[in-house]
Amino acid sequence: MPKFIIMDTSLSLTRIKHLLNRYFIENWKKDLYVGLVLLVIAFASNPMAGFSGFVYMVMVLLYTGRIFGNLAHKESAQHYLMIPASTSEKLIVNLFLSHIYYVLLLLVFLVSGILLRAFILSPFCETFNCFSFLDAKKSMFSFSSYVSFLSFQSILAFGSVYFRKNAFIKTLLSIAAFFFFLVMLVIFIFRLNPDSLTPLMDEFKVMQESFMINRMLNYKTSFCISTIIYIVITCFFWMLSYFRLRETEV
Amino acid sequence: MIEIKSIEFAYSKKQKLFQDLNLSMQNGHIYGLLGKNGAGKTSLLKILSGLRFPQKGSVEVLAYRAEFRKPEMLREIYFLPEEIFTPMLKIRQLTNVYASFYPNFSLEQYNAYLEEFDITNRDLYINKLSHGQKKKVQIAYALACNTKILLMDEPTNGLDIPSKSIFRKVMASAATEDRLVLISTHQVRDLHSLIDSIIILDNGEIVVNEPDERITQKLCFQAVDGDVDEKEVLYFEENLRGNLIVTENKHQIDSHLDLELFFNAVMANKKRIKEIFNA
Repeated sequence: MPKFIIMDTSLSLTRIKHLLNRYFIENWKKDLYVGLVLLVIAFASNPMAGFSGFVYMVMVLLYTGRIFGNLAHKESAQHYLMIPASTSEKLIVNLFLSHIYYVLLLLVFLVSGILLRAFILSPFCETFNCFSFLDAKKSMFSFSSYVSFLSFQSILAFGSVYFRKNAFIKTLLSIAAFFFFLVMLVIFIFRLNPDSLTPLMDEFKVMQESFMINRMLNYKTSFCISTIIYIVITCFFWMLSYFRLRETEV
Repeated sequence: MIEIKSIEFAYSKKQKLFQDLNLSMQNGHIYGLLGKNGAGKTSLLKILSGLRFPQKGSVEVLAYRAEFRKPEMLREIYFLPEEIFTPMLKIRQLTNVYASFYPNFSLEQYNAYLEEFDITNRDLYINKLSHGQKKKVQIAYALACNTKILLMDEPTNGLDIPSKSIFRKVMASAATEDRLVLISTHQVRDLHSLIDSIIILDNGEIVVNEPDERITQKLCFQAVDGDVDEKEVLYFEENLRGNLIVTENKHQIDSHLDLELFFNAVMANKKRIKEIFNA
């Protein structure tokens, strides 16, 4: 028996199926109610204003921010950690739920609400206006935006296993605090040595110009680089979540 | 089945709960884990089930390191905590969701234990039941999982008087040769007839880990009238009907183990009692 194991790689599709089954039996009503709320919002609001799309995004992020909600209370955390499945299996199930299930489930309700509005209100509004929103959605759900959304979701998922209680708010505050201190640090450095700003700005202009040229020349490369960065961020935060979950004590 | 070797555990750096704690437990026994408040009974159960990690030493449960929480170990160990989690499920749904994780789960037994506890309506939501009812459902489920190791933290808390005797009955029927049951309790009178081995935890160490027979072989529990010889007596309590005393059983007298008296004797005369058992 090894003294330390870095990752528990035991994976069983049967146990993953049991974990998913557990989730669906325990949560189908809640998911349905949330979906219906989104459907009503999508139906009642003008799709071109983008309010229902915003609510959709917030709902998916809220769900993800509470993906390890079982750990919020001592009793439920004990129960969850004692379920006979490995940490990897529990993580894979939560990864599937946050990146695929919630995104698709709520999208179905969102689109249903918009379509319902289009069909019921079509005699009263121009068909073009009602359906053009769906065309706009196509670009919104492009691959690159989906991948960037995944990376943000992975940060929230990590926040949910790290903070346990009020995880969503605490994660957002942490992200805000991180960027605030980053900006403050940059300002502080420039204040300390204002001369350093001029060559840096020149360099930045050169970089920007070359980037614009490169971008025009090679759009695919920049797309690939940004996609890879987002995927790396996503993997990094899920790995952190794995280790945090494995080290969780109750 | 369970091997704890030289573990060290603390919630804070200043105060260690366990230091160099060793414990071995075998199947076919119902162990009673006794100790004062704050002695670390619940912490020990959590360490055994992998919910807490010792800072030093090793804990092996069914030859698996407990802190790794391997599914192979978790499906053979069931921990029933004092404060139970109640999912928003109907009583009968509990088996649909969780039974599949336990290979030896028996639906027949689950229903039989619920019947014993007089829970007939399986369409009730568990989270809407009273505390005692919730506990009965969880006990029935825990026993029906048929895990090799069953850890229970104050299982009779919240149970009414008839339910306590039903609990003893179902526990006795569920105890098998290949199963290890560890019950942490303050309610020694509730479980006196059930427990066959006693573990007493005090000041971060295992003071006693002995089967019933050995305790009565080494110590004698008696009720006596009049004065007692304090040199001979390890512990005594005044009672309305005389004095209850614990003495070393030098003359191999048959006596009935009084768990409460034994626990108090250990707390009052720890060093001497340890010497008697180690002799």
